[in-house]
Amino acid sequence: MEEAPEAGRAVRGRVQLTAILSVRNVVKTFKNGSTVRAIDDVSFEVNYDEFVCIIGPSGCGKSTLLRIMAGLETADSGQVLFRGEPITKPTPKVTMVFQTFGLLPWKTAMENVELPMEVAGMPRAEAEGRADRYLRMVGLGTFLGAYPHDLSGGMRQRVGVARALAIGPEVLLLDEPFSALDELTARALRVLLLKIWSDSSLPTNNFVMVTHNVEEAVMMADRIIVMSPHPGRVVGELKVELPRPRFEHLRDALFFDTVDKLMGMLSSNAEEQM
Amino acid sequence: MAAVAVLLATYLLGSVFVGKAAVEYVPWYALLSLARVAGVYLVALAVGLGFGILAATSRDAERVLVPLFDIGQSVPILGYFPIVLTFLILLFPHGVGNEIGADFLLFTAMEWDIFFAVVGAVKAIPSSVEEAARGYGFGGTNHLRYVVIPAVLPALLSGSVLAWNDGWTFDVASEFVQFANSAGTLTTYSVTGLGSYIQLATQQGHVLVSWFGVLVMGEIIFVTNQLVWHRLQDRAATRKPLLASLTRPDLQSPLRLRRRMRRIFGLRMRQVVQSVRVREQIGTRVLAAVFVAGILAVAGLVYLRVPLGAFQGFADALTRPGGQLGNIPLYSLFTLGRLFAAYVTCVFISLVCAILAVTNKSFYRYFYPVYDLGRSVPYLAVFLPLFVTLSGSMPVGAAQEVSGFILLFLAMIWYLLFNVVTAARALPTELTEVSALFGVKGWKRLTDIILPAVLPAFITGSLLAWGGGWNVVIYSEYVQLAGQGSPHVLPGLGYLLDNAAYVLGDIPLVVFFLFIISGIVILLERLVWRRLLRRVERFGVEFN
Repeated sequence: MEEAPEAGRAVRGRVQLTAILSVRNVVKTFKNGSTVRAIDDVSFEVNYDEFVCIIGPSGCGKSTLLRIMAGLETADSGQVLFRGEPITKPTPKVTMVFQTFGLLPWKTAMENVELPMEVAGMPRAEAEGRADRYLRMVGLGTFLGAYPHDLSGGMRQRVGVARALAIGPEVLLLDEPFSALDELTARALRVLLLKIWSDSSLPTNNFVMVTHNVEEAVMMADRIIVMSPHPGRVVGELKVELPRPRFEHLRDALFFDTVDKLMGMLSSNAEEQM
Repeated sequence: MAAVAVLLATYLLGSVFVGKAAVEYVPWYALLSLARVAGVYLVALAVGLGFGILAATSRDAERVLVPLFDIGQSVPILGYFPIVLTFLILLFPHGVGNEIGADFLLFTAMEWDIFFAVVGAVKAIPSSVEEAARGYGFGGTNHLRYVVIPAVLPALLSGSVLAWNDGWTFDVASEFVQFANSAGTLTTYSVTGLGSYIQLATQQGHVLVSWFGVLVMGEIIFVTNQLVWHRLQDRAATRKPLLASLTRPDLQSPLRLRRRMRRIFGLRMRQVVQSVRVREQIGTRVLAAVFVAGILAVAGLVYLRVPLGAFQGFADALTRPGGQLGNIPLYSLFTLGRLFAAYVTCVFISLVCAILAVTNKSFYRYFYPVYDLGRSVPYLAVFLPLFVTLSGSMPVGAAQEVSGFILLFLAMIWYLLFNVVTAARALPTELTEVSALFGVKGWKRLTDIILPAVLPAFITGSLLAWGGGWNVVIYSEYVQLAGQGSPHVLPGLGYLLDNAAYVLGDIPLVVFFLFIISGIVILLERLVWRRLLRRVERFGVEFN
């Protein structure tokens, strides 16, 4: 079982051993009246072409960690390296998809997707072309001129994904991207994201997703980092050996075994906390 | 009943002090005004709660009450005050009419805030709570006691803070009215209190003394806000026993101050936004048509010299050489220009503050206390002493224009400033992160993130600011000082109205000017502000 080859990975054939992103001894403390240690000495690596999930209960600092990886927050000590260089501020090479989409309500789908490219100084025509292409890719070809207000939650998150991908990042960070959506919509979006991840014609092949949904993590990740709260620590790591494409294997015994194993890791820790 | 008793006592006590404008009486004057404002507040509270709950629970009542109160809050109260006062004084002699008139003005200054707060809060009770209450068989009194009143309380308190401050603002206008008729005979309608004391001292040339009165009034507003309203609000928000808050002092943290402010203004925002969502019962087109037709009809009748019988005096006043009908368009523009000048200044300051609020984290530490203090300035009371003080160092006309400008500025700025700054503050973290993530900064951040985010709050603030501005612009255009035959006036609609009411004593003429002013106010609100708000409302940032 442990040695089973990953079908999807073999086809892609671009496995490299070095990490594209490495998190090294990151510590983060918040002062909000009292001092709260949100992240306590967290280290792990994200390998090339890997899909990593970070899972843990609320308060384990997983979203904060993701923001440090995006350059939106700074670590008190320790660092995050992207291709060996420390990340100190946001870079177009590492972008993020937000939990409640983070769309500007006063801009259309097109304008929302164009904004980052415009800011990055891309010529207008090129930005428009790319925005158009990526919105079509996520299935919103007929909603280019719609405002977020007029789109469903799932469609809004599609715009969020198109916006993040259109500037051609190498790493995509996803902060509980489906937790504001109903299960059916979330399912469709998971399939879409996996398709994008495994599409080697796109430059974005490294995904890091924060979630608290066990099945979702098992369905999507190559590797799952398990965190515990107060303070946020990495308490375990699980390699998911389920073959890809995953949605063909959601009835396999291995899927349920992996879910159980992950559940076990999470709850043994929860008991410890009590 | 208690309220009526308080007001009666106020009247009786007041009559003891009539005409005694001396510093040693200031505590008494302050107490009298406090009793007057508090008494009227209790009446406004009872009326607001009663009608508010009625309007929110019965469709038929809503159909009648909401448009009535909506139009009512749009008509500048200082516009119809002269008519009401004249009428009441004829009806009740021995100064009773004056007292009722003052109480009435205070009532109209306070009522709308409370009424709309109650309506909004009752309508906002979640249907699950209503269903649960019905499921467990709550009815009548129990429903009122365990569901409606607790649900209304926070909004009612926020509305009360606004009402209380508005009441104090108009205290000075309600307690003292002075004018000279065409023969130069001076008439003063006043009731005893801090407001009339401030005016009287100015009239008698003791400007410093009246500044002292203004200070005392500001102090009362500030202290009552801190000691009563803010604590009640905190308790209501944390569901702690209400009475405990009055006896147990607690520390005022800036954070809590901010939350309180946001609750108060969140309420205003929601009221305005809700009022835009509800389809207007009387269409804007109908109102516009009535407005234009009314003016044309009057102009037609007067110019065609149709015999008007009892209204002949009215027609003469409009058409006599140097008469006023021809002046109306120009004077309307003058008044609008004054409002506009103050508004533009407020807009500029608010936008600068909005930018500071987004870019500078420590801005709020200074903003909220300044706001809290600034809101306590009783701007109507400031006007007269300011005017007299300034006319010492500049031409009288300029002094009136400048003090009018400052008055308007103070009346308008807080709505805009607060709404815009709070909206800038309420910008969702995610949007801040998005702009940081994609490197949106500088001018682009201003035009693409900050300005669109504050736009709905800005328009709501503008609507409220113009509403507040209309009320006071009337006040600044007509000043009659004792010992001077003719009044100091600024050409404008407010002057026309006051002149018609006090100097000419021509009620139909007053009604005509009031019709024009209300028409402009309501149409501006509907055609400009509500329309704009409807367009950008969906882009709004939520307050809570």
